[in-house]
Amino acid sequence: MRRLPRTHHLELLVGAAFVVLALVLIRESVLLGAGWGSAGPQPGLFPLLSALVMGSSGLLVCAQAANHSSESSPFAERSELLEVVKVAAPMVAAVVLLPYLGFYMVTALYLGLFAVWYGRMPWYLVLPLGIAVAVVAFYAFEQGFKVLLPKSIFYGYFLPF
Amino acid sequence: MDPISGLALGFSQVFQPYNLAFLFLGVVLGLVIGVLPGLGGTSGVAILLPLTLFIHPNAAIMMLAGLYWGAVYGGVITSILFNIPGEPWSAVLVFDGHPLAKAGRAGLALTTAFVSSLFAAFVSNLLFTFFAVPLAEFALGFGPPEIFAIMLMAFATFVGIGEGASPLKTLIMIALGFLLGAVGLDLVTGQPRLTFGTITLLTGFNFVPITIGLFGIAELLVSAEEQAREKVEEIKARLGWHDLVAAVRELGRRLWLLIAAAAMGFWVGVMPGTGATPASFMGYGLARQYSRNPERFGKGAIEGVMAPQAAADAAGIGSLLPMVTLGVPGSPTAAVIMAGLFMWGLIPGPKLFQERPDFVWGLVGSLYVGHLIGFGLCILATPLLAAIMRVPYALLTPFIVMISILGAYAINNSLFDVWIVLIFGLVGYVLRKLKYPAAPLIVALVLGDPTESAFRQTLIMGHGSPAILFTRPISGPLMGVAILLFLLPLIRTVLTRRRAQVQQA
Repeated sequence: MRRLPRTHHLELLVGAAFVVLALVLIRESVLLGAGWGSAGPQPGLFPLLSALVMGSSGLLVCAQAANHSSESSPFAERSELLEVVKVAAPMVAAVVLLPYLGFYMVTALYLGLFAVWYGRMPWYLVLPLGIAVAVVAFYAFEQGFKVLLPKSIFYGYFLPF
Repeated sequence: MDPISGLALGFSQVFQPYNLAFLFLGVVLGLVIGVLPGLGGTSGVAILLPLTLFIHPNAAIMMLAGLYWGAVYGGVITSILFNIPGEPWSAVLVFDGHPLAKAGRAGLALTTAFVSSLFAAFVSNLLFTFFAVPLAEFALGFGPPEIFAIMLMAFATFVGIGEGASPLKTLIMIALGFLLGAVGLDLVTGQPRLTFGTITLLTGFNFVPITIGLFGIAELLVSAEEQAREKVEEIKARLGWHDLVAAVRELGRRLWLLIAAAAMGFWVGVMPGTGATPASFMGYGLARQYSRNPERFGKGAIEGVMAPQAAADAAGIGSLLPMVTLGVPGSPTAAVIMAGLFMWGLIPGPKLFQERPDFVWGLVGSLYVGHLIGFGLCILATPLLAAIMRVPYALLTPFIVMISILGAYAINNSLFDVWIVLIFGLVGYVLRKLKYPAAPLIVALVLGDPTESAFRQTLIMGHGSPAILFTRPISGPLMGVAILLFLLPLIRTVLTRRRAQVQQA
């Protein structure tokens, strides 16, 4: 069994990510011009200062994490991380499928399937509920508020959503 | 406009059926969001923000502010009955509210919290009503150095007295907010900045998807962890007329404590950066310090419910005052509401009082009416609201995610914004676990453009030197306070080290 990441590993990783991001942005700001131009301060000055603050703070966060590595606790329990993945994965799936299935189909499927799979609720109760929410949303947004939400790839062929 | 006629204009706005309906809707949604532990008031405001594009700004501001009050009331119910804070600003109510509920006095604890909230709200509403115009008129004379100094003070407050967050991480989040805000076209020269040659980034990052991700989605993921832990106990409560009478009697006995807590809370709220959460903890401290029997605290002292709730509500109201008068939000929730003002094409700040008195005074009027609605609903419907806690997480999560997606998409009809919600939600979960505070990022993102333009104009005024910030009569002292706040964590570290050395010697 692999060991779970400890908090200080993540502290180091995130701190380092901020330092790298800061370096990239410092370069961009300097290229943009971060000095004094004809219209006063150049566009790169404010981002440069912000990136410098971010980078130096990131370095210090890394240093702190390295110093206190002995007191580090696991980032999360295995069971907790599993719950987070089980909740996050369907979210990602919903966003990925959005351009293909459209807002309304994704709503019905996501609501219904998540309740069945994650909540262990009976499918004959929650699948109709998911469809009902999607239908109400369709009439409220397409017809009521006139908000156009993403449509499925079937839109225009034989489906109005 | 003097406060009395302003208030008259405000009430005439509030009592228009269209506005009143949205205020009512806001309070109801706020109560529901307040009761749900996975979703805070700040996320609630953020998620609903895009939907306000479709209604009139006067109704929209009332709805969002109403949502804030609803969440302030709603958090009380879960804290006292379930021993889980529904909102961060209700966390402190767990200490004494829940023991009271366990001792069979849930009704009294709840009504006392609601009555204290309402009382504090009226004290703060009066302060708001009469301070708004003088403050706005005072601020009309502000130049870029003063504005920059105030903005800097707001960020210094996060660093100096942030809610238990590491000052370094707070600085990182502030800088990240500024940098995200800087992406897009430069506001002076119109040059593309930090876009890395892409066209998608030319329009910059919208604050709404980032806020929805960092608050809404990240909060959902954090509460997913809690699903792995055990279930909670629940105490049933029905509020009766006798509870109300008893609560008012308790309140009458401690009127001065309540007024002090409200005034302090209001002040904490007005101070840029901090909001209802620190105010509630300070209210608790105040009550314990001046109590005749402080040993009862933690075991069901009624003051331990009264003072924090009064301070929290007052701070919520106070935090809107600098938002409308100066354009500097007093709390994270106020920052998100301020983002709404920009979205509706309004510029918060002193000129708003002259240009849109109907909007500003409508908001002031809705402070009074919104609190009355919230109070009434709590007294009548607490058992119903408590039942919302039992809505399964498995149904709630997809629902909130889809509303978030809908909101993010509706702003620009762009799927890019939907991805932003998701990415910031996932990153926000990790950042939250590592105790990186989300609020400073949001405030920096909303205030990025105004801060930068004040900064650049200040430098132009000073011919390239920032010394002008320290030599002007108003910006000078403000800069002093800001620098002191920035250095506060450093001073604290040095003091603790020295004390440790003395003890070792």
